[in-house]
Amino acid sequence: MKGFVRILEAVISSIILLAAVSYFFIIEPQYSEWDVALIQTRAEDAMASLDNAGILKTAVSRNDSDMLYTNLSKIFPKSVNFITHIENRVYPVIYVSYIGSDVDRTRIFGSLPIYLKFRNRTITIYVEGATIDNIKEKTNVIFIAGMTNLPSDRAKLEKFLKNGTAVFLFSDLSSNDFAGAKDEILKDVFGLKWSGGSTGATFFYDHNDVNKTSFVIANHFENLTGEDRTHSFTGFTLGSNRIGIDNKTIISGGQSSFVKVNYDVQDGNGRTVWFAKYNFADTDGGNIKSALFASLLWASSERYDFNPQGAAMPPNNVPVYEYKYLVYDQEPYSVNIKIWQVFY
Amino acid sequence: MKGVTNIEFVLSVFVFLGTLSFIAFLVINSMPFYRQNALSEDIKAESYQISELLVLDRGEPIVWGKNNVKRIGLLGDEFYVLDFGKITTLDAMCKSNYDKIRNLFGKNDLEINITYLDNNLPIMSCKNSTSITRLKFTVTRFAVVNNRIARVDVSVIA
Repeated sequence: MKGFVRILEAVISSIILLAAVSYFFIIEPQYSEWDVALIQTRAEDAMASLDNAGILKTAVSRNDSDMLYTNLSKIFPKSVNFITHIENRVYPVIYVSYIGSDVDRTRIFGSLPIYLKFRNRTITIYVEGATIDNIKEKTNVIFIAGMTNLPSDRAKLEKFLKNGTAVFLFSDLSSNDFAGAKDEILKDVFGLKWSGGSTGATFFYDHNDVNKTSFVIANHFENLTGEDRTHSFTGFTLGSNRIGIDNKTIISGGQSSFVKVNYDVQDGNGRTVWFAKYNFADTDGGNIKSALFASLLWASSERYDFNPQGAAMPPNNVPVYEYKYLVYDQEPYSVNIKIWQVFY
Repeated sequence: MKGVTNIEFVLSVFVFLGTLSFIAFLVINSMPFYRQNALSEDIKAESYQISELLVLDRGEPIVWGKNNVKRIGLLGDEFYVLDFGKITTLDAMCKSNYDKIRNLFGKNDLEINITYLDNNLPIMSCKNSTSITRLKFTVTRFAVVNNRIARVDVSVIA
């Protein structure tokens, strides 16, 4: 009996030993990430090659998404899908949904549509009267004249911002607007704070700092008008609109902003512009109106899709790799490509 | 009872040897798998490295030729734009002395094929003349040659 127990002990101990050691000898097939890495490399190669071959710039300047899609299709294998979009480039056609009085609309935009000569191309702006509840899907910018319904429309506006539609507020502001729900939307969505600072001659704020949006909008202004970026605007109502200055100020006078932007308002998307009302008699030779259009161009150029109709969209349950390629053209912009494997 | 082994000892030794041989069997069995994996990763890394050198490096000296080349790179003056002269030189070198090309890139056999993307017209092809049926991995890169997009296939054969 004694011997049998010892044998049993030996068997049990060897089973335990085997069980413990065999953990280290299990062959687990490791998933190689080479295929993912090589697809990512291919995206980088594709963009750089298309740019250096002149195809990328030609396709974008002609607004020919088919041309880019055809060339990318030759580069990527059939098992990979992709979509592209363009960032920070003014789209050739801008749709504006206007919320406000018809009288002001005519004063602001004049006869429609508007054709702007901008960097050797023509930008067409369509403006349509709308309410917050009937904004069309193709709208790039929601233009609100006056801020009567702003607090009650906040949730709807934020939804548009989240989807990349810009919001342009055209209104004078007083200290009374910076209280309660109005204050909250002005602060959170438009980035405005009442400061009480003095006002004075109005210029593009810090227009030589490439890191500021004022630099970009001043560039747009120069390209629209031929005027210098140091232009002094006459037509804003000095003494009112005492909005504090910060890095997002576009036009300032004294210690106050008259035009201010905000970006990445909702989940990294959404641009807003606040533009103080100006004298519609426009004693500034149309320059304030041009500054308004320059701001409108910036607001609308956050991103636009650059795909042929019916292009596949990335599914939710598949890893998507995104690559951003900067194009140094007359008007620098970036082309984003999203790629994913069809069979995942 | 000197000289007589008791049954418990015999069984214990049997169990011990059994355990030992099982572990040895597992280790020996897994070796080819790991070796194959390592080899595969090795040639993947090498082919990627060679593709990077060809597409993104100008080589050494920058204007290298048949007789003075220390490192082969096909890049011209601009990023992602290959020098057609360097491609022609590489092609000629490969046809006359494939071993030199192989030694410049590493120890394994390799194939380099460059073709225009738009019409699949070959620009150059460099490979060992003997047929090979070993483990092979290909990295495909894209660059510009003569203002046209070209496909650069680099294969390393273990």
